Amino acid sequence: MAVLRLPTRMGEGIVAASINGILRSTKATIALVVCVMLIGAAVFAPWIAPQNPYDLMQIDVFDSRLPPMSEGYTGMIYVLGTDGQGRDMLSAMLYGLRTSLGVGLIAGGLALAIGASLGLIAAYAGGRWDAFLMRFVDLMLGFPTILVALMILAIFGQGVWKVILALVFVQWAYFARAARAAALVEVNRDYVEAARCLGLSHWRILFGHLLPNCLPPLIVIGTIQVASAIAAEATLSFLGIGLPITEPSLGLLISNGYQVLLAGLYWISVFPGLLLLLLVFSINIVGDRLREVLNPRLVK
Amino acid sequence: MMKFRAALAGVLLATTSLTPAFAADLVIGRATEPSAIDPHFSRTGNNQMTADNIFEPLLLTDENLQMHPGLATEWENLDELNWEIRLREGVKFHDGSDFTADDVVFSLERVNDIPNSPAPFTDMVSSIASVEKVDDHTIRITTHAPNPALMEQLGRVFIVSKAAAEGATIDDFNAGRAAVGTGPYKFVNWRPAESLTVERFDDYWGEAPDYETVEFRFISNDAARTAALLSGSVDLIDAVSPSDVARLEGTQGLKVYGVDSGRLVYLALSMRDDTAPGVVDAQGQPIEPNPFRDANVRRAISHMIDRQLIIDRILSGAAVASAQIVPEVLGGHVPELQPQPADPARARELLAEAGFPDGFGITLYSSNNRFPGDGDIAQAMGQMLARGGLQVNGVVTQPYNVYAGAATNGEYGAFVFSLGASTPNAEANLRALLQTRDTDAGTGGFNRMRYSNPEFDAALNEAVQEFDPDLRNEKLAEATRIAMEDQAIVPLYFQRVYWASKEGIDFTPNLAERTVATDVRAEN
Repeated sequence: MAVLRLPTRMGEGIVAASINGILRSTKATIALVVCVMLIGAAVFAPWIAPQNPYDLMQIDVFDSRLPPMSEGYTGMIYVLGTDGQGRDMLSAMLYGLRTSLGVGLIAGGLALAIGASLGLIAAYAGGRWDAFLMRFVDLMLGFPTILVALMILAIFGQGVWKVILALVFVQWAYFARAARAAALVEVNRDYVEAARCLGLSHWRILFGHLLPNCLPPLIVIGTIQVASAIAAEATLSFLGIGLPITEPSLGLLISNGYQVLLAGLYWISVFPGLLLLLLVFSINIVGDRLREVLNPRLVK
Repeated sequence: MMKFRAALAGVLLATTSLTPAFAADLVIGRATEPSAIDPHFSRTGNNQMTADNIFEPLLLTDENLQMHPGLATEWENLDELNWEIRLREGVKFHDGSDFTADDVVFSLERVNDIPNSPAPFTDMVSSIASVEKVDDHTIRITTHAPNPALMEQLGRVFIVSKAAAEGATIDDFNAGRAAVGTGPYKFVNWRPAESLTVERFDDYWGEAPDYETVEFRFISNDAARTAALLSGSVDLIDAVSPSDVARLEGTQGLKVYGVDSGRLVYLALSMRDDTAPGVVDAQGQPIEPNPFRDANVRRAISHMIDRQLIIDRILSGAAVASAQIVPEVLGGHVPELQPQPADPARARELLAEAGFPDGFGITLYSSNNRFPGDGDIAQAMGQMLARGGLQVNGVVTQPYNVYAGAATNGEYGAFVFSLGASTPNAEANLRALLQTRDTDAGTGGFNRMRYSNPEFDAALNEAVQEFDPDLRNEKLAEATRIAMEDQAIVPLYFQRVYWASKEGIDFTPNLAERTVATDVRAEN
């Protein structure tokens, strides 16, 4: 009996192709290295930060607003200065990076899962379901991201999970549209027909066969959307409705510093701003390169 | 057809009002905005300084909080309980009608019937037993008990037009229909969170203002307000952040005005319920009975706070540490009540005496746009309380308009608030802040923590019945001593406040922190 080999496991192939593709570009390689270092810094923040900026016992208002390279009264050197509460800026930025990246990755991941599922279902089911889901997606894409997120936070209040919820809500539609577009091409392929003939369940066809073949555009969009989720979270925090003030993310650090920027205390705002820029920029470079690598038209 | 035209005109008017059709002669950037145009709705500074443009009280207050004849020209004690007040003649309301005794009687009665008022004027009229009109420009008032401070209290109530305000809702005032006063400026329009525009009232009885139209823009962000002045889009700003003062003073073409205000910033510890919101044990459960009902806990928290450090580091030195309710220049100040340096060891002893040797969990609440550094000082106190032996579980800050309502409703346990002085002595603030709250008697209007001590109430009552001013001040000081021995509140500091303007303008800074159009004069 001839074994019909269905192209189900493309995952390893994509990872290898992506990494190879990135490594062929110097620019993308540097961006990837920066990304990996930033993620590493975020993950290991509690071990590498000079102080825990969330612990009120460790920060002292006596050391507030010191310029970079100042020595605090305990003898600690603040390499990047301190903010208005006497928080070491370097530590606050490492922890802020952790919050920003965490929020961005979780929100991006959840939006990917929800959006991709709905997009695949729309393409696979077709007809009325497709029309209904996609018009809803059009509607969602019509609203300005920040406005919708502001409304959600105004209704539900502040907090990390509420910010994530708001970001997922405004981002899932991008994934839905991309997944549907990719799946529409795949749905008419022979392997899907074959899977149907074998009597596989709809769910298995959707997530076992269609999804892996639709991954390349989703990965590209996912990368870009993580960057935009980080930027959106920073915007919300900057507007003062994101995260609690005692646990600042990068956006909130920038916002705190902005209040005293005119008084010449540049370091409170500028350093977190640069870090945010570096983070979003490097993720976007990697994302762009992934698009070049994974775009079937360019590969063939 | 007429109806249709009127509707169309209304629509056109509404749309044109969205885009400024004219540039105002004077644009003032204000940090706070009013919660309503109705002058009786709230006695908070943001509302009063708005009403001051459009309405007038019976007495006018100068920059040093001294009171002068306004709509009332003279008054006299017929005996201990009866007063006769003469009203100014020839005063017109903005709608052209005459100001008479009927408007005064109506206004004094109206303050008791303001629904949902977050800070009512009721304290100001609580001593009145009856008001009667003698003739068009004379009223007679009878008080429940001898009240030497009657004119200081009554003198603050804004007078509205009876014809316009009778039966008017808060929306009628906000839309301008009922906003008819005798003040130097007429209401033009109010766009919440954006701006208030007023226009000179040509039939004003007093000195005519220098500017024809004045626009107040509400810019709550300190840096944005400073930037607006630097860019020239506004002519004057208030509540200048202390950290920006040096920079503005050094900028060509700008002037900075500063004054040590009577505004006390304090930490309130709510005793109103059996548990205090945000006060929890190690398991996160609310502690019952409410620890803040124990004076030793309140004293311990006061000992934890290093006031001078907050002033030096967060406020760039723009404040004077305090251990009481009013500053030295006002009557009722207690000379020997001096702010003490932080003493964490004593704080721990007091906590242990109160039965909390290991402290308890606490959440601090504060506004973030009411006065300079309000969010930051709450965070800094969080550090100090943590070092003093409490577990600080959070510092929550909110915009003032949300915050003030929640604080008044008792949603916060330990919260930072401020109280400006607007009278020549401590009486009004002691009555509003610390006297046992009694809505019927109109006392304790700002007593959000529900402090109640019969001994203090008795001392204060004795003081307010004293007709001799010097003796009255001594008795007010005695009442203050009792409340502070009890640590009714945790006083932090008196704020130094700043304004800044372009050159060519002269602003009179005042202890009451008002930013009113008539305090701005063109420099010649």
